[in-house]
This record gives sequence, structure tokens and C-alpha cells, in this order.
Amino acid sequence: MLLFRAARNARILPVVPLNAMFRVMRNGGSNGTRVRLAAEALRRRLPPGWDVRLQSGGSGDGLLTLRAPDGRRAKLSVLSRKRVLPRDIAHVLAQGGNPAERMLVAPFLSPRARELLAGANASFADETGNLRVVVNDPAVFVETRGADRDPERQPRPLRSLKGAAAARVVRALCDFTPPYGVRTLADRSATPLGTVSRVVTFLEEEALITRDEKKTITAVDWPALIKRWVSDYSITGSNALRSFIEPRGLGALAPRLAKLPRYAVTGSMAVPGGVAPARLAMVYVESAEDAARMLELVPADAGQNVWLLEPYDPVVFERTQSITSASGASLVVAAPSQVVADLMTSPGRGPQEAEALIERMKGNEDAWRRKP
Amino acid sequence: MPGAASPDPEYVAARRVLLDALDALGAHLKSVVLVGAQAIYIHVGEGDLAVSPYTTDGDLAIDPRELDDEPALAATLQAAGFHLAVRPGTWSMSDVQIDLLVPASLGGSGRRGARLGAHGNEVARKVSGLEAAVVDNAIHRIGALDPADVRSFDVAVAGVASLLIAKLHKIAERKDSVDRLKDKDGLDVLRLLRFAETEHLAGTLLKLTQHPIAGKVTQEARTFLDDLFGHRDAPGAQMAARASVGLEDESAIRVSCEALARRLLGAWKP
Repeated sequence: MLLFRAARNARILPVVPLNAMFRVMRNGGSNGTRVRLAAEALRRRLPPGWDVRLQSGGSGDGLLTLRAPDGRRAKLSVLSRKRVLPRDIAHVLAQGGNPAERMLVAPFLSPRARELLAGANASFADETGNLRVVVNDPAVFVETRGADRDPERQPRPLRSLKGAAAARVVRALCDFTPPYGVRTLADRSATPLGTVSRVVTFLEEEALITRDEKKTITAVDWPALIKRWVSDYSITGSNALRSFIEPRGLGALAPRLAKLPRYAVTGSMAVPGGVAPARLAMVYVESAEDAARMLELVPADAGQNVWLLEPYDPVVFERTQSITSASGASLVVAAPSQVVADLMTSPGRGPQEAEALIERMKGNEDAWRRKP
Repeated sequence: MPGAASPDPEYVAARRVLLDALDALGAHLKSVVLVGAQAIYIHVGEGDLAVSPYTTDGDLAIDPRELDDEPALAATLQAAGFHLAVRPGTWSMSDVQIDLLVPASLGGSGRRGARLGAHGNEVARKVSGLEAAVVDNAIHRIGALDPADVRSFDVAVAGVASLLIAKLHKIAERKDSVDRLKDKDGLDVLRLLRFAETEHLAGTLLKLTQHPIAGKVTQEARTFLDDLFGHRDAPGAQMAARASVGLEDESAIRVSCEALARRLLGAWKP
């Protein structure tokens, strides 16, 4: 991991390779270490004959003495901080003494923080290679450029499963039987690795998935995962829904769906051998307008028996199944994981139907979960 | 097609009495056409409306042009156990009624009773709008719904187009009398509209419009369809909605009536 991070930083900072060791060690570095490494970085940047000495004490975390070949000296009082935001700069520099005789050391200093420091004539160093030391007597001006973006910055931790990307990952976790790693999951869910990692980290914290010491996903509590998903997802809220009446009744709808370029039935009608006949057909289509025209549906504000749903993501058309409808027609239905989420968030008896479907799915995982 | 695995006992009884009547009609079967709810059921089956599609009554249209003088209709029906419950035309056995009906334009001069020559004026009743049924029909084999009853008869069953015409006339005649029992006729029209393929039905209706016997009632039926079902608030659409109240969504039924009637009217241009 250390090597990986070093390599990545080397790409960001090709012009200051001397600082590589400094950067590599940044994680968990104490104030003392950080100051020592900053002194070392400065020493390497000064011409031959110059000397840099670091002493403990002073008003800060150390006292840096720069000695010119002619023996003249300047002192910089070093302040080491673990994290410095631009808004902290004024406060930090106000802690006694002339800013021009201070040097701030931190793991990372943003461009704005550096601008503020430079404006106050303060010296600074960060662990990505940003370094600026200005002394009037003896005259020293050293400036090197490091990173403008904090390479260590962690993405904001995920707190919800809102959005299409999280939904794709959830769907893949349900539909594919573990074990697999995040790369496989990223591939199967057609989602960037970084996003998948964040979702997986979140789900692991929520105890919805289990990973082993090699970070391989070894178990998915898919019923709990779907239940967690539907606190952020709903069939009516996440998809673009339009209501229609099939004047010939739902029995006439099923055989005609085959006319559509792509569709997937969800809700009650997608449950094979459902107990009660569906009173409302819920169909994912690419374009509700085109589908309504092809199916000869009548737009309806009340009494609708057909919902056409333009989906939150094309994943609703993935891993579909084929069943035989009550009227004998062959129907393309959404994956069971999708149908469960849609039933759970459907009006009427949907939630109870979802519970019944989950129980059936627990009994025949082999029939609907697949190898990644 | 029609019927679930085990039909309602009421249907079984109704079918049995219909078979009794067909049996009794014997040699006259060739001049009989099954119309009404039982004929609709033969075509449409249970459909997917939540409302029961059947009635216990049997409606039989008689084509006087085909009717022989012998044997006497009344005598054969009575011999089979039927009695004339309501004059003219309503025959009854057990709790089930069979109505013998004659297209009004073929039923002679009487006001209600059909003039059937040797068979008299009370055996069958004149009904307007049935003319198309004696033109648009096809032979079906009708068997019992009770597996123990092995009888079956080959009998003419009115086609979807002529059944639609007959129902529209019936509703138009009675549309001013509010009667919940007649509301089911509105739903029967919707059943036929849902079942029929629009272009095919319109083609049959256009042919019937040209027919010397069926032409006039067919043309009238087009106007009735427009007036009674062409709008979601029209009387026929409201009847269908009332007949399904509590079982089907009322506005879905009314919108469906409008949509299907308008489609058919669009394809059925005289």
C-alpha cells in the first residue's frame, strides 16, 4: 500500500522527486517527524555551503536555523499542524512573533492556504513538496511546487444508497453470488471502481455485506440490503412514472408487450404464479410516450391499470427473466431483486407481496442468483 | 377458453337448462340462434373483469324464415318440462328462464308477440335489434358444464358484431328507465368491445350495414354506440361503471368504454 501511494504521488509530483521519502512517511507522522523531514527537504534545496539546523524549543514545535556560507544566520520558528485549512492560517500566524520568522509545516497546504501564508511573508512546507522559505538576511528564497489537491483526502463517506450508481451496485450484490472483489463488482455493475468502493465500505459498516481479510466480499445479506435500499429508493419516486388505462384489460396487455423494443415488467405481474391477478401492470420501458402509442394505452389520471416507468437506470433491463403470464403470454420480468424493491415501495398489497416473494427467493437462491 | 376449472354452480344449472331447451327444440334447432349473455360467454369467456359475466337466463333468437310448422313449438317445450311463465316468449323450468325472441322486423304485425303462423302469437316475443343475429352467426358445439352431463348440441351462436348490435338496441330502448339489473348490459357491451379485434369487428359491421335484413338495425346501432358509449360520461359507459362498482375502478371502466367505442367508430365509417 505504501509503495502504491508513493507511486501515485510520484506521478503528481514529478518535479520534486527528492521529497519522495518525506511523502511516503507522512501518514501518522508526529509533529517532530514532520518538522525534521521539512528541515531535511529545505536542506536539500539550498545551495552547497548552506546549513540547516533543527533544534527543539522556541515558541513552536522547533527552531530552524539557516546558516549562510559566510556565517550569517536566520532563525525560523516552526509550527507543525496535522491539518490546516485556509481559514486557520490567520489564527495560526497570530500565535506570537513576526510571521516572517515563522514556518508552518503540515501534511498538505492547499493553494489558497499557501497564498495566504505567502501574503503574510510566512514560510511553509507540506508533505507533498510544496515548500516556500523566505528570509531577508541572509537572503534566502526557496520555492518548490507540490500538489494542489490533497492526495490523502478521503472521499466523503457515503451515508445513503441514493442514486443510480449505488442502485446498480446493490442490484449486482443481490444478483451475483459471492465471493468476488470490488473490481469484479465494478465490472458487473458497470460502475467506476471508486464509487463501488464507497458503496461497499458503507454496506460493510452497515453490516449488510461481509468481507474477508483480503477484502473479498464473502457474503451479502440480500434481504436486509434490499430493505436498506428502499429507504433511499422507491418505484414511484426514483423512476419517471406515467399512468394509463389499457381499455381491454390487463389480460390483453401481456401479449402486446412483445411489440416493444425493450421492456421489463415489475410489481405483482412479475411474480410468477402470483396468488391474486394483478390489478395494475408496472412496466419499465425506454420511452413511456412511444410505448403508450405502440400499446394503444389511454392516458389516465384516475382508474389507471398500467404504469409505464422510465427507469432510474437501464439496470432494470439487466438480468431479466422470462415467465408465462396468467393469460399464457410470455413475459419479460425484471430481476427478482428489482421486483422486491418495487413491490416494497408499491401501493396497496405490494409490501406483503414483497415479503412473500423474499421468502420464496430465500428458498431458491440458485434459481435467481448467478455466478459473477 | 371459457370457464375456469370449476365453474359457478349457477352457470352449470343455467347451461343445463339451456341444453334442455335445445333438446326440446329438436327439429327446430336449425332455426334457432343463441344470443344474449350465454352467447357472449361463449365468445369472451370469463374475461378479466371482476364482475361475473353470466346470467342464468338463456336467450334464443328464432328465425321465422327457417321455422317449420311442425312439430308445435309450445307442445315440445311443455313436453320437456317448460311452461310459459310470461306471455309472450318467456319459458321457465326450475328457476331458470329461456326467452324465445324473434327479430322485430321478421315477427309480423303484433305489438309484442311474434306472429309465428302455426305456432301462434305467444310462443316468442318480438325484439328489435336481433335482425343481425340471424345473419351474423356460426355453428358452435355447446356442451354441459357438468362433466356428468354428456349432451352436446350444434347450434348457431350469434357473432360478436350482431351481439353488440342487439345489446346496443336493448340499452337504447331502456336507457331512460334506471334499473340496476339492466346496468349489466352496459358491461356486456364493454366485454364485447374488449374482446373483439377492432378492425375485424368494424369489417363485419360494415358488411351487416349493407344487408337487407340487418342493415337498418346495424346503422342505428352505430348511432347508439356513439351516443351511449362514445364518451366516458355517456349513459352506457355509466351503466357499465355502475354494474362493476366495488369490483372494478369506475373511471377505468368509463374511460375504457370511451376509448374502445371511439376506436371502433373510427374504423367503422359507413
